[in-house]
Amino acid sequence: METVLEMQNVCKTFYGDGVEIHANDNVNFSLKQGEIHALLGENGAGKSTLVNNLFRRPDSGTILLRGKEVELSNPIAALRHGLAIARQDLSKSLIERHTVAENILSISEGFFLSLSRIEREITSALNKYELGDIDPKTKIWKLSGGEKQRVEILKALITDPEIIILDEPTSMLTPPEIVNLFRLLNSLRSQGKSIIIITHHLEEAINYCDRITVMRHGEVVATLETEKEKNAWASEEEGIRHLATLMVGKEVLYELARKKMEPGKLTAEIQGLFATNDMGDTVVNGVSLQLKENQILGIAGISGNGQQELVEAMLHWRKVDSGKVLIHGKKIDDVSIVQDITGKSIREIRDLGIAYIPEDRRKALILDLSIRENLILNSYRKSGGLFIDQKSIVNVTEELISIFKIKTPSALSSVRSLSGGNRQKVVVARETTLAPPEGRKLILIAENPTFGLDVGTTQFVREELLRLREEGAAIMLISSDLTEVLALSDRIAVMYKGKIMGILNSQEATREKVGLMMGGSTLQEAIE
Amino acid sequence: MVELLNPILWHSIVAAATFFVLPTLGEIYAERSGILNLGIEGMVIAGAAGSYAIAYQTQDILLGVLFGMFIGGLLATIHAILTITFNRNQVVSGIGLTILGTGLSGLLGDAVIGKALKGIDSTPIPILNDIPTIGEVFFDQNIFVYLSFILAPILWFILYKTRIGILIRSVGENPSASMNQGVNVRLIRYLCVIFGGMMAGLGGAYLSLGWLNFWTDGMTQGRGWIVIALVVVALWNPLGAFIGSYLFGMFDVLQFSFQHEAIPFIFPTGIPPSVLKMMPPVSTILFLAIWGIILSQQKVKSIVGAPSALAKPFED
Ligand SMILES: Nc1ncnc2c1ncn2[C@@H]1O[C@H](COP(=O)(O)OP(=O)(O)O)[C@@H](O)[C@H]1O
Ligand SMILES: [Mg+2]
Repeated sequence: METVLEMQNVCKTFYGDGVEIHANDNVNFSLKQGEIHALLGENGAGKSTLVNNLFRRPDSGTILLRGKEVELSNPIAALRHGLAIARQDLSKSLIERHTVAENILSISEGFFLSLSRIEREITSALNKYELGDIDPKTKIWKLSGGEKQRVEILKALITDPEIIILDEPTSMLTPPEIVNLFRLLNSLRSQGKSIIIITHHLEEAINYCDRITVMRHGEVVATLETEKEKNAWASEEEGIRHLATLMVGKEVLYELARKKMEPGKLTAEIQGLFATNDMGDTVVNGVSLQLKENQILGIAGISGNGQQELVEAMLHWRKVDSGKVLIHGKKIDDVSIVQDITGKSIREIRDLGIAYIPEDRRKALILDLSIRENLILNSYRKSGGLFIDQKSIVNVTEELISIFKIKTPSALSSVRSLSGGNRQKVVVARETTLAPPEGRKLILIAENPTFGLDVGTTQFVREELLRLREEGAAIMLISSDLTEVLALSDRIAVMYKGKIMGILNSQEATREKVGLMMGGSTLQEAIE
Repeated sequence: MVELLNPILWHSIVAAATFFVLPTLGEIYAERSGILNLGIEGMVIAGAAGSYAIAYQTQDILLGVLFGMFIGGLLATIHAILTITFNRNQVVSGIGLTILGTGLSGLLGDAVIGKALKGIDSTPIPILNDIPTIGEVFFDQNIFVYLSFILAPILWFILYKTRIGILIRSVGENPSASMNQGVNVRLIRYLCVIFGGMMAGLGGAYLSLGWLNFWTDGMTQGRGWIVIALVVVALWNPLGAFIGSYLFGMFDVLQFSFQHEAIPFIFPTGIPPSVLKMMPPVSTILFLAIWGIILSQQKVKSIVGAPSALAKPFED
């Protein structure tokens, strides 16, 4: 097959926070006519940077299209050469307050434009590619995450490109939608189109892609022919392990040891909770859950199905429309009592020993304050009086920095100077050492706690959660990473459109069942 | 009681309102593209002085008007360079330009303070002019007023129905996304900011040549600042520019008519001029407060709120 696209010795460096990041370091990559080519790598490996180089000039390196050198200095030039991309970061790709049609301007020409013509073209393209029913007149902010992702894919396909690039297009799609997408890519391939797809799902790469390129730390480590490799691998699992090892550079995937534990006392309870999102739509729809000591309750679901609003409503970051959040446990003299914390202030809630690791680290850290100051944000009030007890703070924070292996020259460096993984360690260190009041155990709410972390830190955070569980903590783990939920949780609740579709225990929860429920099937349907 | 139905009164309200409409239309475009220009007051006043001076010197009104627009556009270009090319703080740059423009107006207008010049006559529009009352109020005005009638719908059409309009709004909503679509974000912002400055200069020319027919230091009386608020009142919609502008035009004119009105118990001898003078700024604040409460609703904001990227620095 002819090579349609070639990138030779491509380099791209970013300068941020006083460090140089070599996001692409002499990368070579080629794409053949009529192939689906998977691009794999950990977060931060430089995959997005590599494909973005086709829509802006890289720092250095050559780009060849069908053997001829080209300058693709801006998105328009790339479009003229028949390239199109569905980007990973939709907030930098779709304009929330504009309609679908207004977002898809690429097919319009001239000063005046007939929006109705574009709308017709969109509808017919949606049908042609079987991307589902989306009204081109809808504003983007009214769409779900999956719908937005499909609009982004359509935006790329509608220009009828020869080379199609999809940057993590499946992160918010349900399993059936993913199958549909690959069916579509298959048919595009049979029309002679060439496709690059970036994904975190290794099985997608193995099952659907002709070649696989793996990147690590800004470099290409290997390009494999899937068919050839398949013969060498004994099973799909071995293939996945092989690819994962290439991605991280060492044999990592050591199993997480989740000790068998009996569930402890009921410690927190959510009863029929309703809450709305910023737009005023009800997105938490009568959720009831129970947290027990020595247990991890996983909340699985495609992100954007109300998980975030649920947590915010529990913690008084968001108004509760109806329903209750109750804390069980003895307070004084061993008398068992139930406290209703619905609508209580955040401080009262946290003083009951409820820790929170938010997905958005900016919600948990003050970037311009030092690591030390960030570490004591929970406990500064304990010292009492007007002045800060410097000595104990120094001791406590130095200890945390060494236990949690936070990589920094000094406790006085600003959090802004830390890498993403080390920032998350600061949050984890502070939250997991929150001291519950006498006689209570920690309640921890962790929202995608390993999002965007490298393998080492991910492993560290997961082990930390398991350790807390053994110490008696009740943990609510909200994660859109199905593997993570399956590996850590004692019970798994699947959330879809603000409702809990069902709760499975760890023995009955399989990837398939949970996957179906994440797409809206009830527990009953998933079992059948 | 003031004769509120008197067409002459309304005629002068239209004349006063037009002064607000022109710069508001320009600032709407600048803000739609994501750039807040607080230098409007400076551009208006420099435009007013510059146009009057040139018109007086050359005895050519058109040349004066064009010069006013040129001055406004020039000051706006400085704002554009600072905020778009060099990503400087938009608020600081805007306020600096107001100070610069005010100083410039003193310089340009120094020679013509109090000098009389025959300004722009009104041009009645045949037929329309004969409609009772309405004709007298709206269609016996000068060319600037008609221009405001025509420009508002044209600018509305461009903003919502043409490709360039969608691009302008895109750039003000999400410059990264626009850039990823191949839009030249900086170019569009430059054009909008300069257009806004030219409209402010045009408003200034109207003030000195079309409406009040003289020049004196500080003659805008801070009206340029009200434009900033009017853009919010208009909800960044060119047609909305009329609503606030006409309300403020009414305040401007009625404050003179109400001076002799007695309000029982509160002002038995007539409303003091100082109270009437307070009306525009006080109502501006009230307006903004009410609007602020309404617009704080996320859902409302998603539909009619300020451009999402307004006044945010953009580095690609
Ligand atoms: N605009 C940018 N400014 C600074 N650093 C960036 C920028 N874009 C990407 N990076 C850095 O470059 C590296 C590669 O990023 P990216 O290509 O997005 O990775 P991937 O898509 O493989 O997850 C990361 O370390 C990231 O932090
Ligand atoms: Mg990426």
